[in-house]
Amino acid sequence: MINLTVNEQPVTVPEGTTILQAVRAAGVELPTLCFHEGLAPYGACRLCMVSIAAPRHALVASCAYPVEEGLAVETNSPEAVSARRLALEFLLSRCPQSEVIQEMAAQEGVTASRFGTPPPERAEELCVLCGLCVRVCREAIGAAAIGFIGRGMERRVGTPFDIQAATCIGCGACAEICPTKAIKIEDRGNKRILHTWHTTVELHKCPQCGKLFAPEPMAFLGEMFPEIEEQWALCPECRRARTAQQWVEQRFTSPA
Amino acid sequence: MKKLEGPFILVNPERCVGCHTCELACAAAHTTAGTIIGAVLAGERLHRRNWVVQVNSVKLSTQCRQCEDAPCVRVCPTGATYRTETYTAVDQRLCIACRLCTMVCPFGAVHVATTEVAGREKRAAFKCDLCVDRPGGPACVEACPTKALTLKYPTEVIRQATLTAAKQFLGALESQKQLASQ
Repeated sequence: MINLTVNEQPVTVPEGTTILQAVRAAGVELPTLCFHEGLAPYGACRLCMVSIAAPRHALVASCAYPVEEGLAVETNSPEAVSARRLALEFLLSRCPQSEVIQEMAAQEGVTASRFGTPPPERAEELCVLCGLCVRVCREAIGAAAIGFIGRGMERRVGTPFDIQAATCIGCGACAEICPTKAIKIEDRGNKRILHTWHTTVELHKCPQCGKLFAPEPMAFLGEMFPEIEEQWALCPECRRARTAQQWVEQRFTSPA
Repeated sequence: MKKLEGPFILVNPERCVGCHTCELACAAAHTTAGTIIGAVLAGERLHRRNWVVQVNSVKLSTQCRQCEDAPCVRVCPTGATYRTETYTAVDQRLCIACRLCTMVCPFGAVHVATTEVAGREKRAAFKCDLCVDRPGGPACVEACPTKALTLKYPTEVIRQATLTAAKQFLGALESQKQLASQ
């Protein structure tokens, strides 16, 4: 266990914890956009900046900084606050239309940005380039269907060549994890359309109830898990009915 | 060390009347308020992890079977669905709502729904965790008015089945003896 202080309040956390987790364990709130507990730290949004006073003086991204013995963390030091505000000003300048960013900025006392507004063709921009969608697709799902394209002002997220991503399984984790709801996914008819990724996948129909429930590319799971071969095609509801049916039959046909 | 054995919840269809009390008890037990009314007043979301299913004219409740080598745990890309020695559960903070677990559960016992995790709204997977943090054990078992739900231990079930089979065998031997003497 590692002992540190957060705003002079002592906290004890296991080794390997990040400052952000320790701060939250101490009940202190810090805004984050690019952080997700299930993925590796990334440090892209710079919203979780804090000052450390000991053992050395520094301004660090708390989400990517592992705790060490005797660390003194200050979340509200003038430099930490101004670093967070600066990050929010940049974000506000990039995505003035994003309600999430507006709310976060207001909470930190930022109402306007000194860096202007985006050009008209990007006025509706919601993506903050936090990389969560790219990371969840690569790190967690293992599909790597999307990635960062371009550099500097041109940097954006997309599929290779901006066409249908061959490796996309249509799970929608990218849209679920997006903190600013920038990714548009729609189920229309028997298709799931991932508008932002120019990708369309077919939905699988339950042979029993006709409900469309899973993207067709997820069928590889049926091969990965041979034990669910019989149930694979069924939707969860029909699987429950099947389980219940089997149980009842077993119960009333087996002796005693 | 003795290998710990995980129990699971099983329904007796002869006793289940399909009243859905288990679903309500499950939803209530997993809220901070602890009751349906309290959760509704506090604006908490209610999610049950079990379903009362109708098969022909029989109703019975279904839930997670607490598989030892659970597909949902093996498929989870972030380790949100995990297995301890005796049960499987979901750490919703780690969940990315990819729905792979719902696709591989043979019993359809996992579902994904919107909830509040650590102050943020997100979609996450839900499954029966046997109410491990609840002192009285699973809420559905306790709430079932007809005692249709019980917590079963596999080896105990097997022992019972073996006993029944042995008794049947003895019974058969008995009747054969009678047949032979006749």
